[in-house]
Amino acid sequence: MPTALESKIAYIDLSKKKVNVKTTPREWVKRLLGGRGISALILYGLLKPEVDPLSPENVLVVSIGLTAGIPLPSARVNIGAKSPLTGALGSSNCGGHFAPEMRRAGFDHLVIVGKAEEPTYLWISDGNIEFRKAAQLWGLDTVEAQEAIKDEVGDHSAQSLVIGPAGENLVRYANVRTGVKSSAGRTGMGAVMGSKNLKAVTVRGSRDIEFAYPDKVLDLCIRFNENLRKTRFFTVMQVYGTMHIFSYTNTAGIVRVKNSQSNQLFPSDNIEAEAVRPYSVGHEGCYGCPIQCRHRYIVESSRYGLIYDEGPEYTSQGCWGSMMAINSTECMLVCNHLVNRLGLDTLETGSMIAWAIEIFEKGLIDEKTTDGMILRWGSPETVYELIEKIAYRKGFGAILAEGPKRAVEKLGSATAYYNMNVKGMSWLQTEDRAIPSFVLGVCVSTRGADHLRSRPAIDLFGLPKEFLEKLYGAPMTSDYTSYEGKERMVWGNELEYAVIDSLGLCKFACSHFITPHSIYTDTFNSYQELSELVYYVTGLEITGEQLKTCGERIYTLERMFNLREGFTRKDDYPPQRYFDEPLPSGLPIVRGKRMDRRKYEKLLDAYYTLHGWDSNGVPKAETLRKLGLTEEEVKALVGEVFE
Amino acid sequence: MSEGESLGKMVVVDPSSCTGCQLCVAACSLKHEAQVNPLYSRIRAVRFEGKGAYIPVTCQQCKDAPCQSVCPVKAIERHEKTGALIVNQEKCIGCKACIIVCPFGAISWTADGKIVKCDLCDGDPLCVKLCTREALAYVPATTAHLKTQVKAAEKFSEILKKISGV
Repeated sequence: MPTALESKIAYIDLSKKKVNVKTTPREWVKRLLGGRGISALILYGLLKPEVDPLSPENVLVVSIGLTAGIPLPSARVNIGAKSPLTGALGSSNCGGHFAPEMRRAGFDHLVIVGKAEEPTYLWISDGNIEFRKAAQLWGLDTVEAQEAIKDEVGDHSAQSLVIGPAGENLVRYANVRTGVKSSAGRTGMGAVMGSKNLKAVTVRGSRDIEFAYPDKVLDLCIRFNENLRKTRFFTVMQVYGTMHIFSYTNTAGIVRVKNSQSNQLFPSDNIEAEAVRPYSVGHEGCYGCPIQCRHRYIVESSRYGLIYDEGPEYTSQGCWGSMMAINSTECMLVCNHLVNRLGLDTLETGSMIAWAIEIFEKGLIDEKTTDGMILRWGSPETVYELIEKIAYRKGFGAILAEGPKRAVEKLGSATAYYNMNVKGMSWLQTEDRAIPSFVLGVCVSTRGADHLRSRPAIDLFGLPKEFLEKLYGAPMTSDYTSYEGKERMVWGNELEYAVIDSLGLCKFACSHFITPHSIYTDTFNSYQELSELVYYVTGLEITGEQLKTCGERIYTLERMFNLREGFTRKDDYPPQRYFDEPLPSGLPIVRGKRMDRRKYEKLLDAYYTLHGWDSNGVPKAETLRKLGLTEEEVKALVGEVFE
Repeated sequence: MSEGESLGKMVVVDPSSCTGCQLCVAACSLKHEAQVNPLYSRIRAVRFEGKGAYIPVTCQQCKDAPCQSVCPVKAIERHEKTGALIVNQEKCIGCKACIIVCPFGAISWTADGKIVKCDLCDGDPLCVKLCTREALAYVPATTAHLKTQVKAAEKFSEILKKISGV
């Protein structure tokens, strides 16, 4: 029997110290695949609206993708809960080596409720789940905690999801981490763990992972490996990782600088990908990945002494470089290290600090609010200090630790205009107001401002119209500053990414996330190919067309979660600044651009129509029927496991 | 590949290039045991992630092989084409003495009760084929030291540069 079809769900009550194990219903797999999809169903089904995300009533779901364990980049684990940052859906996934280990330990999904009486970690090995004391781990940073757990369980191959001091201190954007670098960063899942007194979830297993057609899975793995190596994308990612994107985006003028006041930073030589190479001591690979995009690096004499870490990614490059107007390799590497160890989402932390510096610069706050600190651009010391203050909620840090919505309430409505967020989650480190497809994707994302739900990076390449038409099934322009047809690009990518996330695959291994090069690899670029993969792994015949419907179902279910919490069309807009201020810098095609509200409204309408949602972004009754998401159907599905 | 070419070749590991991705491990297990379980993989990439070290370990196909010497029923035989030490499953009595004496821990016991070890995939090792960092290479044993030698030379050249100021 393929392991993915006899997977187990553990319902873990931390308050009562009780565990109940059930088999994952076949219908769940057929309709929602795994990981992000199944997580959305559990959250929608189990959570009552208006629950305080930091209360014991919140539900934390750890769910691995359907294909976990194959010799391909298949190791994404999804962490879901109601987000303490936004009040909307919380959902974040990361790679590393946790997911296949959890499958070998006997579980595909963990549903964690209640609150432990004292600091606790879960030790899950070969079908057993044990509640263990974690007082000795409380206060340790994310890597120290993992090493201490390995020593304690006496097995250095055990894999853990952990929180750092930021999660313990309920920073609303604390992340969940595994390994030195992998972070389920967005939406504050670490704070939910912290609120439950849960320091870590540790897994270790010796069970076999079986497939319906093992020889076909192996063939696919070999073919993928061979094809991938022929692409330039592969070579670039192997050497530089995602940092390679920066030189292009900074040149074009699509990076955030000084919060959101400019869109290019010069000079930027010290934060370019090449600048990290002297510090690099090799690379690190997630489970089953032939790309291995992460640097391992050492900074020998930083103000924190010798530091060893992994990364940074494009996001951290922007947060700790261009966004703060700091052209320093060491600052970027040290900040990356700090947020990793403390367990903070790099993006939310960077964006909150950039906002603080701008409102200080504008005179909306002063030293009385900042504990005497003078906040200014280009100052590594300012940034280091604020990161630590946030993680430990010290002084001014306690305000920033609350995230955009609550911090704006505390510092006054005049500061709201400068806080770049959607649904209460910060905009990424990119400056997107010249690119309508990117803006739409970020604004309608089901977890607040976020690119990983849809980003059609392919839009930037100016590819031939015929090519794009073939890819998206309708005519659209090759001009990335145009609005024409972009609803289809975003919608198409949303469905595809929902499927990829739920299968547990890495976006870098699939499709056209970053580059059209990967399209020529002839692997995982169509629903048909993903359908074959699902068949080989599970034996389930889910056609390409049905997979696409799974994507629509997952996306709509996530939308329904947010609608129930009061998020509607009004929450699908970029910050006012995107409509008001033209970009001051960049290539001629970018310079002077700002968003056009009238065109954006039309784009939003067209986008809702593609999903089968009404003009308020509410799924129509016929859409719910088509997707099997009517109230009764969802109730019945969830009721199969949870009475 | 001709017989002459494959004879005397070995899988040589380069820990400094390994990224710990487990691709070789998962694929090896899948190919030989039709399931993924690192316990059955003939190769292991041991991860010391907190220290940033990843060390591949596999059968060295020893010349005077302890596994072969210790086997009471002479079930471990030298493959005449590849030089790999192969377990003859018909002869093997499952005493597991080979597991105990192997200095590399390169021999293992599967849940369905069988001794398994690297067979060099009949001269085309899958692990080497899939490794994108060249942390594994399948080369004649007589040249196995060359990569390390060049790396050492590079280090010396850097030191020389510092001394001579060039």
